[in-house]
Amino acid sequence: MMAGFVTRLRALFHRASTDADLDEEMRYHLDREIERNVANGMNAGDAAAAARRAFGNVTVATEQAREAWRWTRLEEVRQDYVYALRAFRRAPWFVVTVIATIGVGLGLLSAAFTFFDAYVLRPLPVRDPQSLYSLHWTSPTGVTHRFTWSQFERLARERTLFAEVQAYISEINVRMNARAAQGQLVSGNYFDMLGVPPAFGRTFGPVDAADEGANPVLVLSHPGWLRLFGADSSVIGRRVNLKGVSFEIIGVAREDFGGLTMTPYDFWAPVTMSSALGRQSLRRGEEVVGIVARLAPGVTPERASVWLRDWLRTETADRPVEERAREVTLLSRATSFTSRTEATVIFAPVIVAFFLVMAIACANVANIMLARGVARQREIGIRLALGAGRSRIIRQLLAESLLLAVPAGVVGLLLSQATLWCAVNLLYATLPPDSADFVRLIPLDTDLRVVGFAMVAVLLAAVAFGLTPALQASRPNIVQTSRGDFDTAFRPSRLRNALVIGQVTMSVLLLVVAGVLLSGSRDLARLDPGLRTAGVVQLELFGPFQARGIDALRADPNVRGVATASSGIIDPCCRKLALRTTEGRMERVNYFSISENWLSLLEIPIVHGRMFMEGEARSRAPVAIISQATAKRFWPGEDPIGKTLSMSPDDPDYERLTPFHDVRVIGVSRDAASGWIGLGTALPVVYFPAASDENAVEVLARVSGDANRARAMVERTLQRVDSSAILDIHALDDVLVVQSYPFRAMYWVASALGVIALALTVVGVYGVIAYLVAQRRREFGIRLALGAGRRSLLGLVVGQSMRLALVGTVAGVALALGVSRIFANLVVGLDTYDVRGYLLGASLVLAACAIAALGPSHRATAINPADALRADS
Amino acid sequence: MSQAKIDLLAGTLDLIVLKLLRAGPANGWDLTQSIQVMSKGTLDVNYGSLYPALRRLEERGWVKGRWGMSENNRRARFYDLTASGTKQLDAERRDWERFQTALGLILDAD
Repeated sequence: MMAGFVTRLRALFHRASTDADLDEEMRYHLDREIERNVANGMNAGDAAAAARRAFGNVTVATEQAREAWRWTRLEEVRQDYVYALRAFRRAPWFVVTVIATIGVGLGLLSAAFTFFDAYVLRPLPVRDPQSLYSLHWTSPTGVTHRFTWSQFERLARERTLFAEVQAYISEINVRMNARAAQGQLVSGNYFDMLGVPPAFGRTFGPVDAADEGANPVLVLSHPGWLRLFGADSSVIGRRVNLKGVSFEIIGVAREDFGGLTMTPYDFWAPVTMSSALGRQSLRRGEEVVGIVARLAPGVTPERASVWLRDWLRTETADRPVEERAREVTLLSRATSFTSRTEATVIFAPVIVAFFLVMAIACANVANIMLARGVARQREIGIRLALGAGRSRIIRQLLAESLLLAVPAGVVGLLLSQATLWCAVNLLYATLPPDSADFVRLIPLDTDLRVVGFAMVAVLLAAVAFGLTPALQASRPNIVQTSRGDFDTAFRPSRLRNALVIGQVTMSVLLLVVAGVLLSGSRDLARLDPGLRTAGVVQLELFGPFQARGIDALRADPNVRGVATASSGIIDPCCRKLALRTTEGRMERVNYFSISENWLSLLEIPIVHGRMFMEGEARSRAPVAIISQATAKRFWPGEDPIGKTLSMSPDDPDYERLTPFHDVRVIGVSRDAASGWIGLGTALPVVYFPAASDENAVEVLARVSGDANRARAMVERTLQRVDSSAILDIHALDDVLVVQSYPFRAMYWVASALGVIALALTVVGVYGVIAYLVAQRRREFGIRLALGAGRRSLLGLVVGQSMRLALVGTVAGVALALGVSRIFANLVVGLDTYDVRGYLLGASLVLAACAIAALGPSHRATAINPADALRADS
Repeated sequence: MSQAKIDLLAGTLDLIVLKLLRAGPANGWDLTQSIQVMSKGTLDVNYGSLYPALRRLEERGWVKGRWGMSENNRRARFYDLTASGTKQLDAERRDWERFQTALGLILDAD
């Protein structure tokens, strides 16, 4: 085997010398033949002639011998590519069109894949991420539990299954350097266990997390350092005030590390600082920490979870049944996204949408190649006639596709980076300024996986768009095509029509989705929330400064009113409660404990009955105001005033709401949005009275003038009370914008995809119709000569293209309806069957197709019959 | 030359060449002569297939070519049977005998 390889290799590089060898050997043979003939009595001339005759054609013999000897294939491949390049030089616009089309499709697809890669595929930049698992357990009621500190300490001593464990408390929201920051509290072994070194300064070790509250130190993440401190290298040793505690910054973590979760953190502090930062103390036996374990070598997650389940069952055996451990889950922490299934559900539709655009681009290119294949029939026919094998012709056409694919792949990768850059910048630019602090992306790098994906995608595309035309083009029979006459046997029109219909279908699907999202987000923007957000600032104050902060706001002449409530009015995590009427009707409602001026500050009017008195708020009288929707649900058609609502004792908030176990309804307020705005205003809401200085979490201040100036003003007022008084502050208008942001973002993405898909489709339709007109030139000439009107010809061509468009549109709408069925229950607050969306998508595509067909149609009517009939096909 | 010549069966040329080379190194010319003589003129090797066959065998490592002097003192390319060539010869010979037996069984069955 090896010997053969060497011989061939030698033959390839020393073609001249091996050829000489062969010639000499053959000549020797011929000479001997002549000698024998002479010995048999022939004269010299006859002997040579006879020998040659016997030997046959020396060149053919040499060629055959050489065939066996060399890599003819390799030579042919080289020839294929040289030939393809020569063909491209003759058709530069064809090359540019194909590369640009595939580049755009691939660029978008790769950009989407980069997101997928960053969140789902790329291992976290820590030591051996595959062995990291977070531990979770659930009780029979399905509630997910955390671990107590002592459980963590005992698990840390378990060394057969877990090589190491770390504890964490997540989502510590603070303000640092007057900006919102999010951090995580972690056990002292965190950085060592993950093998994450500091970029500079130091990370903390076990000594920094030895005693509760003893070590107010923190490590900044690299992005946090950039964002909060402008990459100031003198930050080490500086002290920052978090919730009234002064922390020393001791280090900045390695650049690519943002923690083990999807949102990169700004900082880490020792878990022992939990009570100082407003979380539960570690020592009181509450379930406060989450645990991430590194499985010991050779231990499977299944084995570890069985062990942990048994351990936890013993651990919780003395608790009430519903609080005992039932199931244990180990989630891999190898990538940002912990659950593959969840990731697939979220990413699949997005990837599919981007994939459709790529498919449309491929269809376009296949069409171009088909048309070109037809144009090259004569050339291919001649090559077949000269003895080229069919496989050789196909190989050659595939070589062309590959030569186009590689630069298209490069263009695609560049476009993907540009797309990502634009997308990320647009994201931050369109978010309200103070919300941008809460949106963090993990780095979206183009790594080897992305490059590999792009290359595989583009090569598959090359085969797809190159092979069909190649098979078609190599089919014709030699005699016909060398004459240039092939239009009877060769009909790629059916394939071309199918491609156009497919494109139209996909465009309609994408544009219907865009249309549905557009009307969804417009509905949301137009939705009357039933309250006035303009000029209202919502803020959360740090406990010790709350009373002084509220007083300062009240004293401020610019502040027209201050009200408090147990949670933010439009806040997705607003509290819920089950209430029952004396008649036994039960409903789950949103509830707020509010100060007596809260409703009037938001301009939510009382439509029936009365507002709380100030005394009722102070004494927490057992009265309630309900919304119209609540009244309708509990007492349809009755007057709710004076009726009683009761709480059930097993409600989690029963203790918290001691005075309100049985409340009398004293008023009905107009419906207003609560919780997530997408759910509309018709949700049942109940308001309980509360004094402004108790049980108040969210403070609302109405200020005159522009919301953002107002916010800055409120901030300045509270800075004078204390620099750490504010935990969280937003203009209420911004909160509304953020709530509808996901819809708008989806709408923009879908629209962008839809428009690109539409543009590609229009080009595709135009190309096909233009080609069709050119092909039927002679026929049209005859029709005109026989007296057909130009108008009827126009109708013929436009009709043909509209038939394709209609079939595609019907298919697209049907597909969209199918997709809607799937998503109808998944997306809250969106009518996936929105008629306007469907009409918009379908009509846009049909109109675009009609316009695309008009140009070539006009060309058909402008044919001069005499010219067309005289022309050679 | 009274007898009609028979075309070689596909694949048998390799076997013949290997068999002839077992007797000792030979060049292309020698081989064609030997085939004619030994088959009593029945088999006539097409030169156009002999040389490609030799290249093929060389490439597979069954024979090895070298330049040497012929009996009339001219440069000629001689081929030696290699060890793996010997093994191949045995294998092909066994295959051929099995084929022959099988063919005989079919032809004689009546």
